[in-house]
Amino acid sequence: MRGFAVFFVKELRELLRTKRLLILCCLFLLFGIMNPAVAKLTPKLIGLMSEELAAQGMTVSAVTVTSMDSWVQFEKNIPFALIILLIMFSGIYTFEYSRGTLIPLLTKGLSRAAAVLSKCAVVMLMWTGGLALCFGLTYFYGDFYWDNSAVHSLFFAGFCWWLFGLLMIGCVVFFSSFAASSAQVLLGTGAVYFVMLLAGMYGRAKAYLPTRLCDSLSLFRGDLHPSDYTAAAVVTAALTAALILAALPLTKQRQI
Amino acid sequence: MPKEIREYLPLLIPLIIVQFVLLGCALWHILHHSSYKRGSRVLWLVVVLIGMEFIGPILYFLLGKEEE
Repeated sequence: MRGFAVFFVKELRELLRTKRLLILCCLFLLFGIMNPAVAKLTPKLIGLMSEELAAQGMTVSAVTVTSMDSWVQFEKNIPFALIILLIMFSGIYTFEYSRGTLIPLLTKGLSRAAAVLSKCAVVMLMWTGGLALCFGLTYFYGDFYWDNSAVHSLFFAGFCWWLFGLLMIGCVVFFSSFAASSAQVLLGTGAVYFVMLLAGMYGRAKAYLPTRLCDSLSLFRGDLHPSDYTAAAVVTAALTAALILAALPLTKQRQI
Repeated sequence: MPKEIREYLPLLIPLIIVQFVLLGCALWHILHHSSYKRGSRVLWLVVVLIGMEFIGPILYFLLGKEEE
């Protein structure tokens, strides 16, 4: 436990000193502000294009924007934020293994499990903080300019994205336990997502797949209710735990 | 027009603050280090100042900053 705490602090300090924390904060802030900004600018953009559209025979009537448009942007943008986070942290294990910077700590008595778990905890903390920042900003501006009550189950949708992000981080941790480079880790994580997409084509499996959690739009509109997501949420949580637990013995066998 | 701008101010102000914080950090870091992963001091100053709307400083921290 002590090894975990020490290594956790060391990882946080590394994030701070390599300026990764700053970049991540700015990115999530940017994503959070862009959601309402794009929604707010939509009528202006359409107004600018209206002459061109009129020349083509299309008439544009007044466009009304609600907080729904802002949240639709949120659903579109948050996958990109997650992808950037995963790319940034894809090498968090393999880089240390290939450079051998972990060896001095391991020979001094740090357990491999503590190293794996504390790195995993740091990435999960970053995702939690980033998502909270992005969600909070979109929520605040949604309330500031429009009214958030028009959108259904907002917080549950945010929770779904958080859980899905944890699963993807779990994938990174799992593949890092045997992959040689960060590219392989990303490839494996992408493959998992692709397999889930393919499996989603089978209608009956849809309700149980983690990709269901990404479908915030049906939640916002009220077409689906949080109870429709329970199965997928349970599967996702179980899968995340399984991936991380499987990574521990695999890392133990790994030659560092 | 001023009224329209005022409407967008709540969105613009945080963006502007973040942009200048990033710019300041990048400039400070460039001027306090003499060697970079690639490129030279002049190159990175130009890149950061031209691309000061987020992209320049982020590029510097990802590609130019030396690992310590």
